[in-house]
Amino acid sequence: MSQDDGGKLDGPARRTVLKLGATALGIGVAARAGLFGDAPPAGAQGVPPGDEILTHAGGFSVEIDGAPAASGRVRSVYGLEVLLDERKPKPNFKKAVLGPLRLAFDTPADEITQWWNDTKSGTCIRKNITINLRRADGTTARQIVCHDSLPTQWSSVNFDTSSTVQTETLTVKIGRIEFKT
Amino acid sequence: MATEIVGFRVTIDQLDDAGQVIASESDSQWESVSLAGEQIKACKSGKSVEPRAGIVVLRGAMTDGRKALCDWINETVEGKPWKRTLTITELLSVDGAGRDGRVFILHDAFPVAYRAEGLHKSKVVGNVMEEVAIKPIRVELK
Repeated sequence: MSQDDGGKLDGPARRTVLKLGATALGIGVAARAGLFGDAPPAGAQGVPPGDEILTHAGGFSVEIDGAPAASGRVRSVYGLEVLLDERKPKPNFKKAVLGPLRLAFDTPADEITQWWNDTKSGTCIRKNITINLRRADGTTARQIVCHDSLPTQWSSVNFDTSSTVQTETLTVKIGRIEFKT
Repeated sequence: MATEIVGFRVTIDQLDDAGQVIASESDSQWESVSLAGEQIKACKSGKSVEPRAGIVVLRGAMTDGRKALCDWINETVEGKPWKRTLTITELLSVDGAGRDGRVFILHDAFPVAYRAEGLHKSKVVGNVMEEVAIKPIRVELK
C-alpha cells in the first residue's frame, strides 16, 4: 500500500480501505438491527420495570368500542391534553378541559362514518376510546382511556396524490379521561 | 473539587391528613424541569406579603411507570384529594462520585396541565414525549 505526500491513498489501496469500511459498516448495521440474534430490542433488557422509555418505534394502538375494524385503521392521534383551572385550589372534573382528540383514519373507515351518522341522528353517541402505548417488546405500557367520547367534527376524505393512503379525520370531545400504567 | 449537576430526581409524595407519607414514587427519567420560583405580592399597606409560587413544568420521554403521576392527574380531574408534595432533588457529580444537591420542595401541589405528544404511524424515530405543568401552593428550598 503506497501513500503520496498529501496523505492520499492510491487506487488499489483506496479500494481496499473502502471495501473494509463498507464491510465493517454492514456488520455494524446488521448487529444493530438484531440480525445476529443477540441484539435485544432497544430499552427492553436490563431496564427495571417502570423505567423503560417509550419510543415511537414501539408503536401504539387504538381501541374504539364497537368499531374494531376502524380501530385498526387509526393513522394518528393528536390532542391528548388535560387543562385544569390553576386559580382553583380544588379543581374538579367540570373545570377540566380535555382534548379535543383528533383521530385520523385510513379510508375506508365505515364504522366511523356510521358513528358520525348515528351521532347526527342522536343515537349511539358516546363511545370509549382507549389509546395503548407499547413497550419495545410489544406489550402495553400505558393506556389513556377517553370515556364517553362524542364526535364533534368529521373531515371528509383527503385526496393527496403524493400519498397512496387517503385519510379522514374525526374530532371527538372527551367526557372523562383516565391514565393507566 | 469538580462539581457538576448531572440530573435531577422527582419524588411525588402523597400525604394523609396528619402529614404522613402514604405513597411515594421517585423518578429520574424526566429530561427537563423549569422551576418558576416564587413571587411576592405586597399588600397596599406594605405590612404583609403574600408569596405566590409559579408553575413548574416537567418534560421528558414517557416511561412505562409514573403510576403516581397518572393517579395524581386522575384524582385531580375527578375532584378527589389532589394535594401532593413534589420534591425535586439535584443530582451532583463531585469528583466522579454521585451525591444529592439542593432540594426544592413544592408543597400542596396539583397538576394544571398535561400534554402527550401526538402519535403517528409514520413516526418511528424518537421518544414519545409528555409534559406536565404543576402548580404548588408553597415552595421550600433546602
